Amino acid sequence: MADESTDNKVKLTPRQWVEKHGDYLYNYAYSRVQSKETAEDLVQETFVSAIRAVDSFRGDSNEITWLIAILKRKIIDYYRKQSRKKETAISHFNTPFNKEGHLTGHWINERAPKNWDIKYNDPMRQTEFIFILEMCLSALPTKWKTVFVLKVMEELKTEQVCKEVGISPSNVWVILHRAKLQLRECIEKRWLK
Amino acid sequence: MSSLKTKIYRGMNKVMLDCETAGLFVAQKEYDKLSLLNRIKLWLHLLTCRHCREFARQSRSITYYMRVLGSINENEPIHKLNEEQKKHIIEEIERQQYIN
Repeated sequence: MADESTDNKVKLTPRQWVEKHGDYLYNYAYSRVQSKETAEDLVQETFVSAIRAVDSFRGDSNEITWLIAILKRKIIDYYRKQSRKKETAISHFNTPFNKEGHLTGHWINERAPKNWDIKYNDPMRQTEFIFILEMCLSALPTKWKTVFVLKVMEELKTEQVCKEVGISPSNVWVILHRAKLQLRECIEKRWLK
Repeated sequence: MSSLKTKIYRGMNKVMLDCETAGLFVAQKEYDKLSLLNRIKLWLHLLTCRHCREFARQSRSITYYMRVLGSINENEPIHKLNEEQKKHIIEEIERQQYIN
């Protein structure tokens, strides 16, 4: 009786929750995991946790912010589990830099970055860029993708990334750099077609 | 001629970063912090290397669009649940509610 707003929240049916926030949460999850099934699972787990914890929701942040906070934790947990898997090897990296000669460590000419000429005022091309970016992101090895998303998209501190993924700071930078090199080459191939 | 070129490159390599290291510094500068000395080294490298200038520019574009992609402030989500997925989720929530 005393707290009517809490009462209302409990009364929200699962359907209402999903209709109201489902797409936002799904979009948030999908852009980070690039898998329909995983994103769906994460959204569902978020709602289940939220409904269990609904009493602890104090209403001082808005509902979607609260749900996103729960989802965010679940995404990081998911990433941590993924990155503990042993399947990804760093050695698969096909370096775009010269390995020998006086140009060691410098770009191999044919593989050097070209001008992308992104028109920031062209919404169609922007959408296309995001589409390509997502596709290329999903093609990265899991561990690289994890590090890249946590650092670039989630903007976690380097120490936090180390903790979640279980690697050293210098490895974070090496992986981040390699992920970006591969991502950039993948984007360039499709973008300048 | 090529030996002179080699000598010049060798000399340069002592003071200058190679592109691979420059790229690492680009990332550190973009997402964290880079010491003053390394910032100067990177600046010198970018001054003379157009490939790495291009790389740094691309890196900023990637970062920008990664954040657009991940943002929740978009009016219209890019990816949406379809009806079947919604049904799944609702059923699962209800099932979990009964369990508890």
